[in-house]
Amino acid sequence: MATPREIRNRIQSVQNTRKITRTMELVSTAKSKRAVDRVHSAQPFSIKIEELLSGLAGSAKDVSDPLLRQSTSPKKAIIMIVTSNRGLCGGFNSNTIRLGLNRRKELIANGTEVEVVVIGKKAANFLKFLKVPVAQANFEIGDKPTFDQAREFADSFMERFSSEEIDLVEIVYTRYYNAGSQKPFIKNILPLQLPEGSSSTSSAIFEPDAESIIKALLPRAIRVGVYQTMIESVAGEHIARRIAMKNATSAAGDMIRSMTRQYNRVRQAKITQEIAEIVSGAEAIS
Amino acid sequence: MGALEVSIASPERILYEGQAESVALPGIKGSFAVLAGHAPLVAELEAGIVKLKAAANDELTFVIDSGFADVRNGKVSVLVEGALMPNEIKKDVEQNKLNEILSSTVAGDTALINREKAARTHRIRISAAE
Repeated sequence: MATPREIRNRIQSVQNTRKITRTMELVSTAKSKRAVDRVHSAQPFSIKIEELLSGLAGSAKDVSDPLLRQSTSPKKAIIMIVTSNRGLCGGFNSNTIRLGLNRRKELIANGTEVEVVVIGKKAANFLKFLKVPVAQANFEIGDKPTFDQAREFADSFMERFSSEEIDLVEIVYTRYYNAGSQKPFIKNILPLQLPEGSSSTSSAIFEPDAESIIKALLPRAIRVGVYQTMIESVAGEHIARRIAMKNATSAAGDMIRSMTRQYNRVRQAKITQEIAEIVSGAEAIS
Repeated sequence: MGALEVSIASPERILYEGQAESVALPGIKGSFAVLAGHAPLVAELEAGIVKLKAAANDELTFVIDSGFADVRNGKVSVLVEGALMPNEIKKDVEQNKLNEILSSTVAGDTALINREKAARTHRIRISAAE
């Protein structure tokens, strides 16, 4: 049986842990709010680009652009796995990595050579442990991915895609659906799928002309697509951490409650025992 | 004549959303201005300066990177990859970047064109900051 002092020490340490997890929860709440704001402020831009593309797809049917090259059996593909640099966020990273690895296996089974690009220390460490070769790992992208960072990735993908070095680019990341739902998702980046054409802008004047506008739009659509995966992933990370820390805080509370009960029981047993000893001692004398 | 609805958005933020009397945009074939009642238009924009007249005596300036403008039903959507307000421009930072770009040596015509393009963005920013 543990002594009361031991139990008290244990309670103390759980209380300290709870203090930390609660603080982390509050920090993640604030950070997730900011990250979600960033996701929302990128939406008008990407929606509008999509709208323009679908409008133009209707008026310029047979555009040929290297970025639209479809291949039925891709020879070489890039999978980019977007994770966080820090842990303590539940299944956030492992779910994304698992989906990425499954996708990789699937592609390899179809005879595609796969190059893995990684964002975040978590995926890098895990893949190193599994001895999966990683072509490129970036840890610089932290809480605030910038558009310029996304552009670097997107531009290198586009360059290699246009030169036919690679035939497929996919990003595995945590997609932000809404505040209550974020799930790992595979997003197709290249080749770009033109959205279904509508005729809403077909009567518009194009400056310079529809085809050059589409060609200028395509790289932008890809860059913003890459950027979105990064910011959505950050939002997902903070939300996942907030939930994980919330659970940890309440688990610590439960633990403290049951340990306090145990402590009281031990304390009372000790008092009872002492009284019994005194009484029996007194009886022995008299 | 009704007012124009203008929004200026970059992936990172929305710079302006609201009504305006007119907006002048740097098209790649030359600058143009849009007033209410403009015909539908999709135009490619080059890096430059957007002047937005919110009211008679209220003119706003934005310094943009290349992008697009979509004019439809009295709504103007300006989509750019990056945009700054003149008061956000740090002149010395831009000057340093410009010097860096200009001091780099390039080979070939395309590289030279790209360098010129990159330099242009910074030149525009520097001149707009004044």
